[in-house]
Amino acid sequence: MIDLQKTLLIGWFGLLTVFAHAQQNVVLQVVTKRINKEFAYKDMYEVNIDGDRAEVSIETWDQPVIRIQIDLIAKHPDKETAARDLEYLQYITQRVKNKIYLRNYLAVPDGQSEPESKLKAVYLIKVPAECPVYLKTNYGQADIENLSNRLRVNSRFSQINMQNIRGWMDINTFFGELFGTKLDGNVAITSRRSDMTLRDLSGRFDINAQYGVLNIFASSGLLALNLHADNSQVFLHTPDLAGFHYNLIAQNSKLQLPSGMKFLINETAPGVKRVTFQPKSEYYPNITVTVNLGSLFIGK
Amino acid sequence: MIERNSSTLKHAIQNLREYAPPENSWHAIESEMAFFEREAALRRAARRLPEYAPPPSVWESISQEIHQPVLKKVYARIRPYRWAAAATLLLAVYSAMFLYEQQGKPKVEYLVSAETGSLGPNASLPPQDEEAIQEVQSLFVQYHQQYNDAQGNELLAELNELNAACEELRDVLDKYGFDKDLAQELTKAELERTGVVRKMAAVL
Repeated sequence: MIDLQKTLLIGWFGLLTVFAHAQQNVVLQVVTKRINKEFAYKDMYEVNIDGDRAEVSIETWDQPVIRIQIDLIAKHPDKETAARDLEYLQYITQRVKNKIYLRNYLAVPDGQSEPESKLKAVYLIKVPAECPVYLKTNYGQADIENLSNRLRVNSRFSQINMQNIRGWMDINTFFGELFGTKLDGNVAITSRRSDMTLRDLSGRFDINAQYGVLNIFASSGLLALNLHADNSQVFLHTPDLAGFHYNLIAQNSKLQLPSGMKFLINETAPGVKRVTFQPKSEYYPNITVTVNLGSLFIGK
Repeated sequence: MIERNSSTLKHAIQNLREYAPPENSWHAIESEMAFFEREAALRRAARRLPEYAPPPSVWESISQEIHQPVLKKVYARIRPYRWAAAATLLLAVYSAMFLYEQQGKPKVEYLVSAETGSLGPNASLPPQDEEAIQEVQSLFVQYHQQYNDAQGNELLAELNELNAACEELRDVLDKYGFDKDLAQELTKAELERTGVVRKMAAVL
C-alpha cells in the first residue's frame, strides 16, 4: 500500500510540475466572431443563458432593451487552424414567447478532427434591473451586478461573482467558487464541493453546503440565516454578535465561539453539541447553523 | 236670434276700411291658368303616344353593368399598368421581408488579432496514477463487501464523484484547450481524490 501511495504522490507532483511549467510562449493568432443583438424588453421577459466554457458578464442599464454581445474566440499559432476551429463553436440567440435564450456550444461535425485551438465564449449582456435572469454555466465564470428581481444560477466548475443583487435568488453550484457582495432578499444556495464568500448580507438566507469553505459576513439587515453544512469549514461573521439569536448544532465538528457571550451549551449525544444564545432585545434575527464533520467559527 | 244693437253694428260695418287687390294680381292669375291648360294638353298628347318595350338583352347588359364588382372595375382601369403594379408590389414585399430578417438576425463580424501565449500542456494523468487509483478502489470494494460500514460507503461515493469530476475536467481541457482556472480546479479535485484514495489505502 505504501508503494501505491508513493506512486500517487509522485505522479501528482509530476502533474503539478507540468502545469507549473507550461509550454513556451509563442505568438497566438486570435480569431474572434462577434455577435451583436438587441431585444426590446417587456415585463416578465427572462434572459436564459447557457454558457459552455464561457465568461458571462451581466450588467444593468436604464433602457428597456436587452443588449447582447457574444464573442466566440479561437486561439492558435496558425490562423487557418484557429478560423477552422472557431466554426465548431456554435451559438443561439433566440426569443421564444417571454424567454430570451442565449447559448453557446461545441459541435464538431462527424469525420472532423477535434479542435486544436484554445476556445472560449465571452458574453456581455445588458438588461433592465428588473429583468429576471437564469444562468447555467459550465467550466466558466460569471459576473452579475445590480439585478433587482429574480436570479437563478446553476453552475458547474465555474466561478460566480455577484454584486449588489436584490430580490429572489436561487443559486446552485457544483465544484466552483461563489463570491457575493451586498445581497438582499430571499436567497437559497445549494453548494457542493464549492467555496463561498458572501459579504454584506441582508434578508433571509437558506444555505446548504457540502465539502466547502464558507465565509459568511452578515450585516445588520440580516433577518434570518439557516445554514446546513457537511464536511465543511464555516466562518460566520456578524457585526453585532449579541444582537442575534443563535441555534447551533455541531456534529463531530470543531466549534469556536466568541468570548464574553453566555452561550448555553449541551452535549445532546456523543459528539453532538447544541449551542443556543438568546439576545436581550425583544426582536432579533435568527441564526441556525448545523455543521456535520467540519468546523464552525463565529466572530466579528 | 234678435240683434239688440243693430244700428251700432251697421254703423261699425259702414266704417270698416276697404281693400282692393293690386292691379297685376289678375294678370298673374290669368298667365298661371294658361300654363296649366298647356300642361294638361301636353299630358293628354303624351298619353296618346304609342309604347315600345326594349329587347331583354338591353336590360341584361344594364344589370351586368350595375352588379359588376368594384375591384373588377378598378382592375379594368389599371389593366394597362398591371405589370408595373405587380413589379412594385413584389419589390415592396421583398423589401419588407429583407428588413424584417435584418432586424431579427444578429450582426456578426470577424476580428483578428495576435497575442503572446501558449496552448498549454496536455491535462492527461500519467497512466500509472490512474492504474494505482483503480487498484486501490477495486481492493477497497472487495474489503467493503466483507465489512460493510457507513464510512466505507461514503468513501466509495466520494471517490466515484471525484473520478467523474476529474474525467469531466480533463475532457473539457482536451476539447476547449488549456485554461489556468480549470487546470487549478482539476488540481484541487485530483488532490481531494488522492486524499480519498489514501484514506482507502490506509484502511486496507
